[in-house]
Amino acid sequence: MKDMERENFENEWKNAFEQAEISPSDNLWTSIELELERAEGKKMKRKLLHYKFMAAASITFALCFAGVGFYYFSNERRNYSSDQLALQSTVKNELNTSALQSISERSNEGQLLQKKNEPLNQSSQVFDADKRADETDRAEENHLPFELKPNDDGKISLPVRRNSVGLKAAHQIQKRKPHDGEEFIAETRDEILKDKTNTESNIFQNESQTEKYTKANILLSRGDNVKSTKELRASGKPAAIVDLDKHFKDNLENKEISEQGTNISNEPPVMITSKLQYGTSSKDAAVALMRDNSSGSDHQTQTLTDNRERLVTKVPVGKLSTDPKNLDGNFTFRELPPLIETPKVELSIQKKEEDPFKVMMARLEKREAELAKEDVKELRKNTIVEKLWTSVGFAAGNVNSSNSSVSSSSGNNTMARAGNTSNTAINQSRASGTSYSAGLNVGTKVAKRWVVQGGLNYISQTSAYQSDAVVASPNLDNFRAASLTDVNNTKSNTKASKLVGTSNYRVNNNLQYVSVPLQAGYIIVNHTFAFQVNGGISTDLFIQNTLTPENSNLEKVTQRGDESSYRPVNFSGLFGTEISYRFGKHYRLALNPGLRYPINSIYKAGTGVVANPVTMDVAMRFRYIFN
Amino acid sequence: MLTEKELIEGCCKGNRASQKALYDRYCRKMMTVCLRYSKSTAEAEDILQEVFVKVFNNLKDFRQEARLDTWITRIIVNTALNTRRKKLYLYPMVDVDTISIPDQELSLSGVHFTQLVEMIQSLPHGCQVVFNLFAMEGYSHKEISELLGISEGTSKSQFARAKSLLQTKLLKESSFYERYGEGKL
Repeated sequence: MKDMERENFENEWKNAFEQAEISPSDNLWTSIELELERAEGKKMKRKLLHYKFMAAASITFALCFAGVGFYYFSNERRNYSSDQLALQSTVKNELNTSALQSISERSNEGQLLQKKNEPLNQSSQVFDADKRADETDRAEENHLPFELKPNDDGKISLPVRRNSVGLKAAHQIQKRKPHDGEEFIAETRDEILKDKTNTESNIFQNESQTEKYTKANILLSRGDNVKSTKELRASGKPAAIVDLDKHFKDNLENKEISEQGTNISNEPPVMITSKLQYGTSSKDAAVALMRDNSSGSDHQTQTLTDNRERLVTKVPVGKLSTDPKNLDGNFTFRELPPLIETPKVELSIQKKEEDPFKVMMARLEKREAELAKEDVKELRKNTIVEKLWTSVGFAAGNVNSSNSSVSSSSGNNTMARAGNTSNTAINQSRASGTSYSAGLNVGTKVAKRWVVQGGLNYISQTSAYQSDAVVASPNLDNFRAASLTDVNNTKSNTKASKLVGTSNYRVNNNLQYVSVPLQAGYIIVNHTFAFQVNGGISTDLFIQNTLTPENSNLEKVTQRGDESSYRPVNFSGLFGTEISYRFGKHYRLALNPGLRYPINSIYKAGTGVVANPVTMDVAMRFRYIFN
Repeated sequence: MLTEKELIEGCCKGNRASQKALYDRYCRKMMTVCLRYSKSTAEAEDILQEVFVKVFNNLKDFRQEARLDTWITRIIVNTALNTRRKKLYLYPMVDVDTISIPDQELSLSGVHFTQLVEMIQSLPHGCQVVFNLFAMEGYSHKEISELLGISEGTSKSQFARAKSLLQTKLLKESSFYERYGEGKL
């Protein structure tokens, strides 16, 4: 019961909603439509993507395939070209070296149609060009050069193509008499057809017109310009052998079909002959013999399996031209057609009409480039490199000789003899003073930061010292200041003059040098303001020294050369710095504090005085920069 | 007027007119179904929109073994359950205590279905789902338990509770009408 009530309850509710319908809002369909469009768009995108992938894959595959094919193709072509070259060179070599003399026949090829027991009064040339042509074709297929093997007799068989022009040219149908070896000649097809008068030589007797025509074509297929034997003999061209056995079934006696049959078909020839015996029949086979005019042929008789005899003849054909293309003789080679016919590509460059705007733009660009180059040049021009310069300078400083020393073995002995002790030498050697120099220098930049400079300077060094000796003239009228030389030199103490001791008096000693410095400098700062460190050596050339006493009663003394106690040439070490400022394009003002130190004593060795006066000065130089 | 088969074919081809026609034919009925499974009209429309998109995208899979409205209803149920599954997770259904169902038999004849929809929507989530599945769709408790991942006992108790609540509401409605003398709708 309760279950039924429950079921009624559920059924009532179910029934209440059976026909219940409520309309949704109007824009709900729009929303649904948008969703559908979005979903379709995604589908389309996916499809499009799929097609794109397919297209890309196809293109990639095609490119790969093309690449592989190109690679393979180019390899083949390369091989073909190299093989062709090898072939030509081989042929040329062979022709050049061998100078083909004969065409030999292989023993199992070819047959000579010969009347039985008929003496072969003319040499004949036989070869199976068919087989040779096969070989040629095979060789071509394999891209191999022709095999030019010498035969047993040392003669080389010439390869001939199936449709060789030479072969055609060499054809000749020879007329043969059936009884006594009469020759048969068919000059043209019409002649062949018309040749009915001579029953003995009428090979088309009792043949249908079609057969006749066919045979005539066959005859002619061996050569277009078939000539008579006489003409051929005159031209020296051999004849070709034509086998017409198949077409002459009737009225032939002792006809034997060649074991190889004929190659009479639509294909061009070649010749296999059969041994035909001519009887008394009016018909006989049209036989063409390969003949030439040369003699000395070799004949061989070969017995075949069916007991037929086959005559093989080797004949010299005459010399062949070394040019395989144009053989002087029997055969003419013709060039093999290219395996791959490359299409001729003609490049044609279409002249386009010039767009004036583009022309103008091009001109503008060109002008801009030119201007840019000029700017660069100008910039380079304006850029100061200071490669070469010259300078004039003036320096002032002091000289310090406190490190000098005087040896005890000096000339003080003279004074000792004089009874006076003179400190002149000591004072003079130790005198300090001032130094002035002026000069001209030249410098150049050897590297980015290295310079080398040299010059010529005049140096004047003045020092004062206390002297206590004078040099008196012999009559004691004149007195002059005594120098170190006077003190040390006994010459001064001669009868003409003598050294006299006095009270101290002041003497100014002035030394004059010419200095030739050579310095190297390293540029530390290279701008408008520059800083440089210099070092070098100078050669100091002594000019003179002047002793000027302050006492007016004494005369001054100027000493040069041997009179002076100073070394004539001295070397000094130089060290200094340079601070400079560039103004303008060509000028630089420099301040050069420096130091000069004589490497050797400035006094001569005999003086007993060792002095290396140190000069410290500051120079101001005005530099002119050339470039 | 197109037959259902023609409509389906048109919809499968993506013919917008066919789709519109199909929508017009079934949207009102399905809206009612969606209202039963939702708490508001807006939610119901969302469910309906989602359902029809699914219908048009998958109509080619409809084998026409059953009626189309039944098939759409099944889609609505599944969609509603998927939507409400989170809420069902948040509000797990448990066995309720024994519920006393009023003895008075109440009839639904005087109650408009819109009111019934409101009553269903006022039910708790679990009760609403179970009630719809059992009473309206005809699922068994066993099937409901498998569908919702609850025990069969929970399904039964949830339904009983839903029923009790609905009857209580119906009682109120009827007594209201009796008190104020207004005719039943």
